[in-house]
Amino acid sequence: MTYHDEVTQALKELGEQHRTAGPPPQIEARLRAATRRASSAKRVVPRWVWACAACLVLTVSVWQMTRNRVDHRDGEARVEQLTEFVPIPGSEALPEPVDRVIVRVQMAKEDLRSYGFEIPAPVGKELVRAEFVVGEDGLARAVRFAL
Amino acid sequence: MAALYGRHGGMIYRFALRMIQDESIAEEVTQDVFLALLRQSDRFDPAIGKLSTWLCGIARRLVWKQLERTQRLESMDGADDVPEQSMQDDPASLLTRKEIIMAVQRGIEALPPDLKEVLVFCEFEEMKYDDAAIAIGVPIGTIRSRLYRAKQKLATLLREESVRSRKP
Repeated sequence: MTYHDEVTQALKELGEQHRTAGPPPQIEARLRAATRRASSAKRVVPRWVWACAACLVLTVSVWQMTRNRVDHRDGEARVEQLTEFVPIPGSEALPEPVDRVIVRVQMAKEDLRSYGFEIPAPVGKELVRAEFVVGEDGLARAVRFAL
Repeated sequence: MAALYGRHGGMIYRFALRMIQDESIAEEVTQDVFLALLRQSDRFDPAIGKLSTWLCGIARRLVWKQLERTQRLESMDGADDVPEQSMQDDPASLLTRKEIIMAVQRGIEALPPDLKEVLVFCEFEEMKYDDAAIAIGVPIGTIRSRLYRAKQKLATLLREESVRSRKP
């Protein structure tokens, strides 16, 4: 046999040995895991959807903030829209206070009766915002109401 | 996927292992080939070639990238031309069968990658020349000539081995 023949023969034998070798099982396990990851990744919402959602949230937030600001302004306007101070019935008899504080409260309309106001019935549990002028003796002198 | 891996995984792994001679990298290459199949299966055109050929082509590209990274490439510009030597001696008279096999094995490992891949595809994996040509992306004539050069180189190495063994 020549060298060429020996090489051909050796290649044949080595080829037979070569073909008996299989891949290690961990490759298949890793591939299965990768396939699972890939299929779960396909279910994940695409980035553009996230971007759209983020834009939507941002828009709603800005709108909400603007709206709140308007509401706040409305609130301020509401506070500003107050009646004149009305003397509490019977308070004229009290001494003129040196110090006064304004106490803002929210109370049931019917409770105003206890201050001597005539409230037409029925008022139920309707609430009213009121600002009382209270002297240093703790007694209310006047009140005004938010409209 | 499991069925395709079962059918072609062995060939891809063996090819990668023969070329890179590193089990962990061969595993990585094999895995990447099948992940490519998973992600880019639409790129496979059965009109061009078989699935196995397409997979071998991917494996080959990954292997070459790896070889470039590890600087295992050798020049392909004729530096591996085989010198003319007498090949008529009978090596069996000088070397045992086992020694011949081992010498050829070492010779394969030392072959330049462009010759080795043809040898692995055509001789070890019994791939047809035209399939190997598609997988490697060269004309079929190049496959034949590379295979011839690879065998010639192995024969030369075997002869050198025989000469060494003859020396006292």
